[in-house]
Amino acid sequence: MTYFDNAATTFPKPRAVTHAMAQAVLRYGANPGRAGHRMAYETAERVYAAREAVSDFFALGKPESVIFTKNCTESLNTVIFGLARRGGHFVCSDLEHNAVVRPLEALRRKGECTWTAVHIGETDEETLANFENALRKETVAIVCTGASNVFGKRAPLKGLADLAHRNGVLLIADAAQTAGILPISMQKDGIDFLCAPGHKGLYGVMGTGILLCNSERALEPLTYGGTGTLSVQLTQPKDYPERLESGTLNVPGILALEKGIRFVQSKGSKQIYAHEMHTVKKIQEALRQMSNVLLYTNLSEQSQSYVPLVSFNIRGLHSEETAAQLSEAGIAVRAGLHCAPLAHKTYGTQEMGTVRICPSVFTNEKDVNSLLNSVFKIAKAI
Amino acid sequence: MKKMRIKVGSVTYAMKAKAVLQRYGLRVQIIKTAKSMKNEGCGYAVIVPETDLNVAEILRREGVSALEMKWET
Repeated sequence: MTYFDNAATTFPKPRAVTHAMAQAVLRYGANPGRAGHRMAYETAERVYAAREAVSDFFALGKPESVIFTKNCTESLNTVIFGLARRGGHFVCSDLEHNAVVRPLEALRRKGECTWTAVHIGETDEETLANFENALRKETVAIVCTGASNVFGKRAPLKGLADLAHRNGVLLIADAAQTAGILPISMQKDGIDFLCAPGHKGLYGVMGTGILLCNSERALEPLTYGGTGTLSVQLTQPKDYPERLESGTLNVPGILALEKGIRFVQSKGSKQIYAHEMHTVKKIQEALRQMSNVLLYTNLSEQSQSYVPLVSFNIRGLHSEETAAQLSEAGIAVRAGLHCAPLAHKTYGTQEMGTVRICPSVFTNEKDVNSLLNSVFKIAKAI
Repeated sequence: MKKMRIKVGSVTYAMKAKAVLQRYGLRVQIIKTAKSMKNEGCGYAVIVPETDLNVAEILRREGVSALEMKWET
């Protein structure tokens, strides 16, 4: 199989990640932060090392403010529901994933909060002006993706953080498609809360996510329960990370995530981005020359910035049909709406969806040729 | 030899205290606390060997709040 579905989850994983999973089961099999025996301490130590790795990678400077979750969606839910207050208002972009839109809409339907989606413009200035116009005195936070999971278009997060802070609101960044390939500094970029999956650009395994808290504003927990400390209290502890991490942690996933981050550091995010962008531009240029292929972005356009992924369609074929035919040819891609109906509405692709191609650090020329040959055959047969 | 017992809020803060103090060359042991169980429930403490360093100040600077400090022999 030739794998181009890396925006959903990267595959394959680095060998060190697989090894860390096995080690977690074989050597660090105790529940961290619960018992006082040796293996429990050793496991807690490994989990803390993973927090340090995440904190360093994103220049957070506070390992204890790294919250482990089960995915980026849970991180986003935790921060959105954790900040919501009656009468509050959120602003998001028109490229958001349902991981942002559905919690906001759930709050609206409960009569607790309202939300506004604004257009990511042709320029950063236009985007920032759109966000500024949507702010109200009751706005709690701006929630914005770092880049669209369908079209790859990036949002100016640093500018949004400045705008948010000038107006006394918080910035929540969805780094689902940017963590690991774009440099993110919590301190320099001024991001208040960052949500990311562990299993995409950070090369960890599925079932892992992170929430980084860089704000004095305490989040109300989404989940309540055992934390291994202050057990007599009937209320959640005040301190992170335990406040937001009730129940047993996914230790194998967390230990593997640390190795994933080390892998990214060893390759260099800049180099990974360069490799993937080179690969995806090559794919897009080849697709542009094929008849019957529809493209929605131009990755070479200087005025726009993108993450390395491309969406396309074959004229007259539903995106799911194209993906099914590619699957028969041994090519793995994702089609449909990618859980981001707002983005498809923005690009006018809500009827057909799109076929999404996303390389990883492991994608090579042979993979690209296989993909292009298969798309060419399908498009020619129309 | 005197030892300092520093009670912290969670296993994460115990690990952080250990990591911080190790950078200052101190070998720290983490234990589960029992004495405060009646009032607060389970907790953690770090045991620090006798030192001239101002351990409380180092931990405070690094964002580790000590819930309780006791000197023991």
